[in-house]
Amino acid sequence: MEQEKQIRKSQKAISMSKATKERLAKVALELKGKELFPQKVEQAKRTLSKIKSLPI
Amino acid sequence: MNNINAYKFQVLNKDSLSTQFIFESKGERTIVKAIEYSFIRNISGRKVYNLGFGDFNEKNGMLIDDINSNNGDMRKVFNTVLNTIPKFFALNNEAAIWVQGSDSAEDFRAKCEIKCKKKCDEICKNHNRRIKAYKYYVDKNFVQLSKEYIFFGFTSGKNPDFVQYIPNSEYIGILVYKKK
Repeated sequence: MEQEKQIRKSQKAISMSKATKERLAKVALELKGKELFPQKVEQAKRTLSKIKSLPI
Repeated sequence: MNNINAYKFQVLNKDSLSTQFIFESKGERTIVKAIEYSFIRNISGRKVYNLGFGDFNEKNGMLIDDINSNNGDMRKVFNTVLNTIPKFFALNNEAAIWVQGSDSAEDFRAKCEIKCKKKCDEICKNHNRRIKAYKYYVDKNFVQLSKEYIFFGFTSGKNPDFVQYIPNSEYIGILVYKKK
């Protein structure tokens, strides 16, 4: 039962240090408004291009 | 014993076109990593989002999704990516997530051969490695995950299509719905 709960719940996460928060804030400014993985999006569009319907 | 299995992440963006997260991987090096759910298209009235994931290169501001950073914390990083899935569905309950590795592209083998030192014969050993990692996790936890999510596998070949997900089968992509 305990194991079952463990799987379904999110994994316990490491809290962020002040330095990490500052670093991520800086990166967030650089990435703001950008599409992060345009090539992956194109790959997905190509792969799914012939799919007309989804299951269910 | 350290029982902490994932990194905390920060929401970078959440709108109808994309939901983005960033976090810091602390292994042999500290690397900023990004996760993005990008809207692909509407199919059968359902919005399909691609799951993208990669490293941020602070020197040139580029994101890289086709290398293995070998930072020694793969499990924590993987768990962190998985932890964003419930967050994504909380914002986009009716959406579907499409998961496909950058090494599952049709032209991957040709690109791999240029710089790869492995001497593969018929089958490229690097092909589909990333989707295999996701598949391994889904297969291992399929019964529990199926209580909350519905999975479909995407087949390869001449007529690729979605099929009911059967653990331990070969797929080049996975589609995930949240159960109502």
